[in-house]
Amino acid sequence: MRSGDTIAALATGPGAASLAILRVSGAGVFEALDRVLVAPAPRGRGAWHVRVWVRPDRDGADVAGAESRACPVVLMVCRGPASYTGEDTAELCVPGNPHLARRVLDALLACDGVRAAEGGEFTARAYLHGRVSLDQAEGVSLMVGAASDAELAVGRELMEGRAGARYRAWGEEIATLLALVEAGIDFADQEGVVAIGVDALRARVGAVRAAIVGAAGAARSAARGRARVVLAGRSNAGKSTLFNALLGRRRVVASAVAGSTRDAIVEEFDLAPHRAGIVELVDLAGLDGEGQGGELAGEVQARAAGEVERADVVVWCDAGEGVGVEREAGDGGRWIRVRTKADLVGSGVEAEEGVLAVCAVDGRGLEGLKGAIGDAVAGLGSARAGTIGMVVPRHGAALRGAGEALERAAGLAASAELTAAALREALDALGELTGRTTPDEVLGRVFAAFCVGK
Amino acid sequence: MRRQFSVIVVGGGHAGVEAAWAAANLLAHEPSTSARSVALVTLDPSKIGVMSCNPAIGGLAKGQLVREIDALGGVMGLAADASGIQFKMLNASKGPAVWGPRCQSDKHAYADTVRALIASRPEIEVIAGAVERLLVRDGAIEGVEVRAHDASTTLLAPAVVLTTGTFMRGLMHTGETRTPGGRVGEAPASAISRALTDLGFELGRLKTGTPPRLRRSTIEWDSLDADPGDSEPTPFSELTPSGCRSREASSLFPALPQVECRRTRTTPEAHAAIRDNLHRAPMYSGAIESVGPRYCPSIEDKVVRFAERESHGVYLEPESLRDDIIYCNGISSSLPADVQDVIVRTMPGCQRAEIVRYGYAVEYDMVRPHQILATGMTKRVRGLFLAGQINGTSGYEEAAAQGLVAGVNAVRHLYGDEAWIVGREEAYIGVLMDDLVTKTPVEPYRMFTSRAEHRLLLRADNAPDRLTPIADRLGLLGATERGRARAAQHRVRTSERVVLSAAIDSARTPDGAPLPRAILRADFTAADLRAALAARDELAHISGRVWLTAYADRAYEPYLERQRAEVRRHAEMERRAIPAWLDYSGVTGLRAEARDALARFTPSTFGQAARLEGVTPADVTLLAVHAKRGPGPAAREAITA
Repeated sequence: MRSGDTIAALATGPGAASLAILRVSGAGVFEALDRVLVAPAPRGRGAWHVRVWVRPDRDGADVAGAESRACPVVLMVCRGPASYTGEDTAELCVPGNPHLARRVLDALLACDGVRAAEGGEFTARAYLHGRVSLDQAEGVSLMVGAASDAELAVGRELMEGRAGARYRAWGEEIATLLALVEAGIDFADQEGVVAIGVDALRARVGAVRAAIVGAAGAARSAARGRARVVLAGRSNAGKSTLFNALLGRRRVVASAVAGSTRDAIVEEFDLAPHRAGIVELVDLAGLDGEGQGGELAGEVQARAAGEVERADVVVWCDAGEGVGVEREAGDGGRWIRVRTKADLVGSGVEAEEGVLAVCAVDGRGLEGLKGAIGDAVAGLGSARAGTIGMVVPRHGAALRGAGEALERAAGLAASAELTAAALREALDALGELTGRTTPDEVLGRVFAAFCVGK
Repeated sequence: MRRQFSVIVVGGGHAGVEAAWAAANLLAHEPSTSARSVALVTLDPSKIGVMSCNPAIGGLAKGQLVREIDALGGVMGLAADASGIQFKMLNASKGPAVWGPRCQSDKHAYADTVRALIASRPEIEVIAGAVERLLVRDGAIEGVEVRAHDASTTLLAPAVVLTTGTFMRGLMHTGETRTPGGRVGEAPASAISRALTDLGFELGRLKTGTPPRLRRSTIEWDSLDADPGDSEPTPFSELTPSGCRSREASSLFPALPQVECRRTRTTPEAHAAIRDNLHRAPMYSGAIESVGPRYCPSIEDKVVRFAERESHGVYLEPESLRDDIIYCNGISSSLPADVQDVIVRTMPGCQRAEIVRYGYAVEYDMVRPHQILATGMTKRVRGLFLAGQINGTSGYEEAAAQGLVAGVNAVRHLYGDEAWIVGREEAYIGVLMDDLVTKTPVEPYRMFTSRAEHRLLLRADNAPDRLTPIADRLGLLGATERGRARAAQHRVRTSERVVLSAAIDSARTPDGAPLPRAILRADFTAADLRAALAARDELAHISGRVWLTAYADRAYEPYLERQRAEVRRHAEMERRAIPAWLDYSGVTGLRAEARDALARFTPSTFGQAARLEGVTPADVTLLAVHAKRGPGPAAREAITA
């Protein structure tokens, strides 16, 4: 990334729409505008009615006069440093014709010192210029790319700085605890300095740790913390056929031979129109218990069993041999029981209560299953599907790091210098998200709290 | 008269002594006597090595500094061991990383030892006089002009170290009384302030204070609680034998009879008197506007800031075996004499105490330290080094550490060698120098262990392992007998560490657990380690110091590894130099606050830049992006020109 250039990009999506917005930012904004607008661009902050030149195609005939080649647009001007990027910024709202928008953008890019913005560069500049913090910038990017209500909520939390505020509050508490521990080390020779007791320290570390670990959520392999929905059942229960039918395309080889699927297959699965959001749909090898197929099969079985353990939602498929008998107690909402191959049972036969009858061949029950998956995912609650740490991996890693360091701190509470080292680590981990706490700040807290000095 | 030296050191306090000593250690390699020449210029040679305030060396974090100075071949540890009358390991109940060796010295014996050490060096010539002018040409120092007995002498040298302590425009306050001077009975140094201002340096003003001194015979000494030292004193210097079993060696340390201190306290009566007379205290009447230290507040500060407390503890510490002066640790004050009388005479055991000297505050000039590099050299004048309180620090140990760094770098400057910069991960000395060049001092700077982010690595016990090899590489040890003895002794230490480490690896505890694993248990002590290996005769000769380091290294190992990983993670950015052509005003998008901080401090590395107040990680990223682009045409022109 190069700072200092003026950058331009189409801010709205491709394709026809009623409006298209072009965004330009950098020191050369007005010079560039002067070249593409019919009259010199207004320099003041605000919205202006202006006209932009639409030059003819190189090989197109210039049939009309100059006037007809000027197109009225609305120009929004923000002057740096009080703009989104911190630089002079302009937005041109042009009629949403993709061709027209492209032509205006090309004209801007043809100006000296103007280049196409890289992805996220406007926000990157806002960050570099101190207009948004790193976590807020991440929120912007998440809002743009959110694929679920949970991601939208986390994006908003970040963008509005609420996440940052929470991190800072935790950082404050840890810094205070660190100051108390440090006071017990650096001012141990002073009467009147009563370092915090082990029990009180453990309790307070525990409290802030619980909050941080809650926000971190469980470590998830899935990118962006999407809920994982697995199709499980015995071999030849029709899982792969159902998998293909749900996705609406043939993704895995389904065959009448039991055990065709050996490794888990993962695909993105859009829950629309039942719910907004995308989950990961996983097709598993059949779970057949022990004693079949030797060592390799044993490994496949173990992996599949692990997937079921880790899954957010389990769709247990059964073709009539007895539905999901082994695994229903206690798993409540995340367990969906399905009677596959419903066509073989014959129409009018109601499956037992709480079991969805589906048929991948004639599509019977598929929409109902999709709805049930959506309900189950929604029912996971924010604790499982939507914590910030699960949605934003960088935050998850930092928060988990802080949580682990705090756990060590609590365990080491009897040893001041090791507790302090662990608390510092926790602060550093949080510092990756909010900015560091310096030793000076810690000392400042000590001096504020204690009468130190002989 | 004009005289040529290799290095000139101005000031004979703790900074000046270490600077002259370190320079002498390096210059001792020179074949010609004319090149082995260090001038130590001081107002009064009889005051070299004087302890102006508390007659104590070391303490928390300061003890680590003394051990580091010693590991680098310095003076302070030797003088403290020779003059200590009470040794105490502070924080001994905690882990070895935060132990703070401290001693109270016989202040006369301490200064005598320092003077004898300085006198023993043929490289050092002590010159009495006041520096009147700094001779600078083309941005480089050429020497100083010294006035003594109305005669001026010009001393020339390509490197000059200024250690002015509290003497630059020193002004002492006791109540409404003000006396110019840096220490009771001694005149201030005013010309240097002017010379520095004329050179364009930005000066600041700081304040420090000292408590009243009492006559011991007038105190009911035995009625007060005793505060004894450690039953087994620990010396500072690696050259002082410790833990030796032979009768001959143990008679060497401690060298002086050991004493007890006494404890007493202030009373509500005194606090009331202080409150009634606050308007007469210079800090509150407005006579002193400079800032004093928060960690060493005067008794009037304590009474104001912690109004709810009815009493503050006071330690009565003997200053010397040769006189009966008692230092009142805890009641530093600049209140008028009549109020100090009340404060003292209401303390238990002190009803009839005679105040030999009243407490006072002293204000003095400092050079704001953003104007020096981490080497001690000023950015403005090549070859001019500053060390000690002139840089806004407080404490003998902090001053001595800077003196050593400046002394070494003065000689390296002379030779055109690359400057020696100590890393924050290498030593407290590195933390000190780095803090000085990245922080705006609001009060006299004092070292604390919490300032060192790699505290577990920077222990008092392992100072020789961290720094003596560096001292050897720098040439601080090779040219003197004492230095060679130190190097030889370090080789023994190193081999003992290897032997002991191997023994630990192969041993088990009495209950059968592998020793390297058992030592990680929280309840496993250094004594347990010795007990576990008691049967190994081949380890019997290994010194107690090596045992301690072996224990600490092993017990902290998982945490040390974590800290080392952290150091490695930041190493590249930490030491990456900020290119000289980089002009902060040309970095578009830099926030004004960051631009100001960077322009003021002109950090040498990205690590330093990141530690400046007002500079965010985003600013550093922007700077790195800018640096990567290379100099623009204007800067290129300037470089080639």
